[in-house]
Amino acid sequence: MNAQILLGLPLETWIIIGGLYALAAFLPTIIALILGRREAKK
Amino acid sequence: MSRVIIFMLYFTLYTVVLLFWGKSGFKKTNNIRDFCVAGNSLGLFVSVSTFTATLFSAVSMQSVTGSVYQFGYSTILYSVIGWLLGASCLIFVAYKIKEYDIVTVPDYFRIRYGSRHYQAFAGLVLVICYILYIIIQIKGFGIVVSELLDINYNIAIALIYLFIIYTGFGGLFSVAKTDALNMIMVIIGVLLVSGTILLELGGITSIHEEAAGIMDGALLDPTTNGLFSPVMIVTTSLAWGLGTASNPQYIIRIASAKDKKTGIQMICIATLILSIIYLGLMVIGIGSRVMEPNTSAIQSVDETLAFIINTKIVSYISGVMFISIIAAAISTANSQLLLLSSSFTYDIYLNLFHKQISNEKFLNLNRVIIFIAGTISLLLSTWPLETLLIYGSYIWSIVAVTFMWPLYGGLYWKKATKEGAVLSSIGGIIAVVTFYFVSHYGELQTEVHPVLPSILISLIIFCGVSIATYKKEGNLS
Repeated sequence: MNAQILLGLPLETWIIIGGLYALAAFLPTIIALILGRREAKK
Repeated sequence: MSRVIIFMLYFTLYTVVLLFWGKSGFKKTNNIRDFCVAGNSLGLFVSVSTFTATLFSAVSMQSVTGSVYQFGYSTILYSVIGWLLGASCLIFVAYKIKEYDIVTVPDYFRIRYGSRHYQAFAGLVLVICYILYIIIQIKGFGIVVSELLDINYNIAIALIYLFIIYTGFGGLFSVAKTDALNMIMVIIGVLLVSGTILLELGGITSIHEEAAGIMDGALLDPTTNGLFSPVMIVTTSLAWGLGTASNPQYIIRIASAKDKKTGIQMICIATLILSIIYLGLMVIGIGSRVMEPNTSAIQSVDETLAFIINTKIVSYISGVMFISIIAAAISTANSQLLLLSSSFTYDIYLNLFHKQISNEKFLNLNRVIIFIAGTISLLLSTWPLETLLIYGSYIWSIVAVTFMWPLYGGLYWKKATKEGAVLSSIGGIIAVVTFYFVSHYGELQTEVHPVLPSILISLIIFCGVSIATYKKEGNLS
């Protein structure tokens, strides 16, 4: 397997598009958890 | 059985279910609060459904899929990622907005900044923006229905007009209930078709390997091999993201949730559902290109999906996808029609001219406005547009510069003042319009989306004027 390709997709695309996509999908949950903890501490 | 008859049967079935499903919303709507924010009573399932279905519009369904087909995965960078990041910002709104007992988002401006005129101004901006944005949904629906039912485009757009007016008449209860149906239809349609494409083409690796041979691998490149500059990608994504983060159609769903916790969970769950749906759209877009690499038969990006459904996907499954596209357009259009009517009646008419009005008169007035605004959008939708994805980003830019800083600043910065908020909204709108015309028709040739300079200008005005006037107020007191 070519080291630069994963599931037929270039690694650069995985990192830039895939990485941002995963971050964007989970960001609301992450922010909600952080704000929830901060609120609970107060 | 011919494809047209199959599509017609699916369409008839969907119409009957939608009419029945939306009917109960009429009975529940008795007063202004019921109509605008569903009595602040929506539970988690309905809230998630209506948030998801409203965010997932004809732009998502047709333009994203069509653009992935034509230009590859770079589309995701300047559209979907912007929407999802924008939704993340809404968590900050959800933590605070319930402290204000609002009926509309401009109503928040009246409470926070103490200005009825600012409320009316923000309401007017919403009315104009949503009339212009509903055109997208009507056009998207018209393209697909005219192509697949083999009817005239003008007859096709008249059909969505009837759908959105019917559901809008019942207020947010009716819209939210039909949104639940529409969200289910979208999920089923997208997953069924993307699953079929994956099976037919031998999995995602095989699709990517085939796609790598098309356009010299540009479909799999983050910039489509340099076709789109990073500046264009980042600033267009910013326009969508800021437009989503400050858009009243999502904020009002936080207000309509039964409590703060439901509002927060709604955004988190809806974003995860949307990210799965968009993955399905990526598979449909890229897989369709592998099935049909020749793009010469397709006239525009927005017609791609209709073409693919009509020529490449098995009849019974394509019928479900056909209903999904209709559901995506209706669920966003009726929500925007409802918001613009409540902005007109509550934020402009009641606020400025007629402070006392019976609930019955209010509801009837809203229905008249829904009818008039829907008709205006219908008439405007016969005009030619740029691709829906690019046109929509300009409308969202105006929403962003009007609402972003006064909303977030008002919630989190105690020094935010009425003067700062009003001038930042006005300055931002002037900046967007100026940059749009200068970059489109003037000498300035740039790939920077008008939202970037405009949002910075409105931020500087908001902070600068607020600091100046807050000190002044302090001295006076």
